[in-house]
Amino acid sequence: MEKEKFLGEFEQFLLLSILKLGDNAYGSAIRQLLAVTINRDVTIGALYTTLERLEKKGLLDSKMGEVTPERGGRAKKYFRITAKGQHALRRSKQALTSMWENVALSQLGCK
Amino acid sequence: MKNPNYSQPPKIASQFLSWALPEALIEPVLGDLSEEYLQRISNNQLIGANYWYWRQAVKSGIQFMFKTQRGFVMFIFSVFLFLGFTLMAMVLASSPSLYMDMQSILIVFPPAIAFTYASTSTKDVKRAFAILFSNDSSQDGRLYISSKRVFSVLGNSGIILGIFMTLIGWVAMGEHLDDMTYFGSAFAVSILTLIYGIALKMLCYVAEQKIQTLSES
Repeated sequence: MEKEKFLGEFEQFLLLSILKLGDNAYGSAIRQLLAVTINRDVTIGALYTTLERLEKKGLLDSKMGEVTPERGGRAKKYFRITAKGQHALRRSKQALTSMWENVALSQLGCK
Repeated sequence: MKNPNYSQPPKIASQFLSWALPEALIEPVLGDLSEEYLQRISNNQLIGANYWYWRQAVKSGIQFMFKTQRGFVMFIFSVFLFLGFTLMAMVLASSPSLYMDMQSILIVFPPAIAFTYASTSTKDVKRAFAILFSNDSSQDGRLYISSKRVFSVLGNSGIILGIFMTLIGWVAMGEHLDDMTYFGSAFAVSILTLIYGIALKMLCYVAEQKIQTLSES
């Protein structure tokens, strides 16, 4: 029996943002991608809380990058999805796809 | 307009955030905010950029503060709780103004502070408050001992001064035992001095124990 939990909505958004951004996935870029793509303006604190949690679960790994002047001489923290992260994302997508099969919203009483 | 290249994010907001963040996140989080702040500034959104930065820093800071600075937050909370309930007790008893007496305040607090500076040092006093508010448990053991001493001297001086001044008041009252109007008000004021001393001792006791806990963790 499968006991592993599915990813939460925000966790999926973050993992997908990291995949979309590729080698340029760091805090500010992820935040801006979420704002532009799904109009979700998250605080940097909320973003890093979830990123740290995903990293602890082994779904992400990170490395410190270069120091740039526009960042006040502070380094970027780049994130990358691990194989375990990709597996979790795929599983969550499959679960949602299966649940959506043969569902038409008009049948749910929405007029 | 200011040259965008020289614009710095609001300093107080940054300091608050770096105080609240875990060590490992200070660099990436402040860097990210700084980068986006400059982007907004270069789009000529100076006021908007400052508002945005403050909002990010305060919201994120509060979120992390309860995890990283839990001890400090609890300390401040308990002090406010104490002050709140004390005020409530005063209001229920009669009126808070009855418990305010400038003479008693001047008799207890300035001498207690002076004794503390005299028996420790300005550096020790500054460091004691810095350690108390920083929640830092990585310092040298001797610093915790000297910081504890600061609060110990402050609290004990406060309570001893309170007792001492109360007794002085009682001697004066003894002289006027037959005049109850004088006796009543003089008694109330002399007891106030003792109350201030005890309140100072209590706060210092909690601070001292907090530093003890930090030194052991």
